[in-house]
Amino acid sequence: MALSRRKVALYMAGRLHEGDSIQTVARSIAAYLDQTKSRRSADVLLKEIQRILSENYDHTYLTMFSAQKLDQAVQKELVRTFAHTKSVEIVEQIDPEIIGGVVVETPGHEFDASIASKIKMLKAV
Amino acid sequence: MNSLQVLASTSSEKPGLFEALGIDWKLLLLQSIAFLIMLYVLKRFVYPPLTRALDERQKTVEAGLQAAKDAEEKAQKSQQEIEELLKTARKEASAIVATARSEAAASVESAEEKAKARAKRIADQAHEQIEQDVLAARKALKHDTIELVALATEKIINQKMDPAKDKKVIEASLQEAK
Repeated sequence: MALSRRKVALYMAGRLHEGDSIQTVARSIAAYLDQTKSRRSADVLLKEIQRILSENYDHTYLTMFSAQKLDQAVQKELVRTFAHTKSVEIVEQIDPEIIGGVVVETPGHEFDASIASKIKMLKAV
Repeated sequence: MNSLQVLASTSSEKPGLFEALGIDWKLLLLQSIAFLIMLYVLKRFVYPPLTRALDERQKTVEAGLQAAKDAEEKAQKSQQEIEELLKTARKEASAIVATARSEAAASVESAEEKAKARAKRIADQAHEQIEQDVLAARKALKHDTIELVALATEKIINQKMDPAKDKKVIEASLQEAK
């Protein structure tokens, strides 16, 4: 009997909260996706886990995309602005495609202040 | 008879008028009698049928004349009727021609109006098409301009961007977000 994605996300979030390493949980998630032949829903499952962590365990995964490495002070300011939980886990990714500025992703929210998005908006006018 | 004898005796005595003229009175008498007989025969047997035949002929001729007269009258009447008919026909023909002319004029007018309306419609459609084309061209030009501006902006920012400027951009964005 196949488990629902929410139940799997609840289970994985619980394991992370109990102290399992990200690598161990990631392997479990990969095994689950492979077994259920639903690799395409990996992104949705991860976001669901992040949301549950934020709502149930007061833990936030904050992903920051920037063209260049962010200054520590800026990073702290971003955390203070977008993470309102006791524990915060920051994932920083360098993406030259965004040209400048920053994109911050939290469970259920995205703050896009990149130059690339501004140029995209300009093109859409 | 006495008178004849007297006349004969007189003539034998001396030549009378008849002898003087060379007329034989006996022969004349006989001829007269023959003439009278002839006249009687003619009157009795020849003239009546001849008269009847002439009368009939006259009647026939009169009837023929009457018939000719009647025929002439009929012909005249027919001619009048024909003339009346021709007159009526001419009137009707004139009326038909007038109606045809009127209808032709109306048809031409209608055709002209239709042609004008069609021309106007074509002109309106062409105008509308031109407006649409101009609008599409303007839109395409705007789009191309924006694309060029965006591309130029992207290239310039890529060249000019450094960590310090990036930091300023992020801080400004955060200020706006708050």
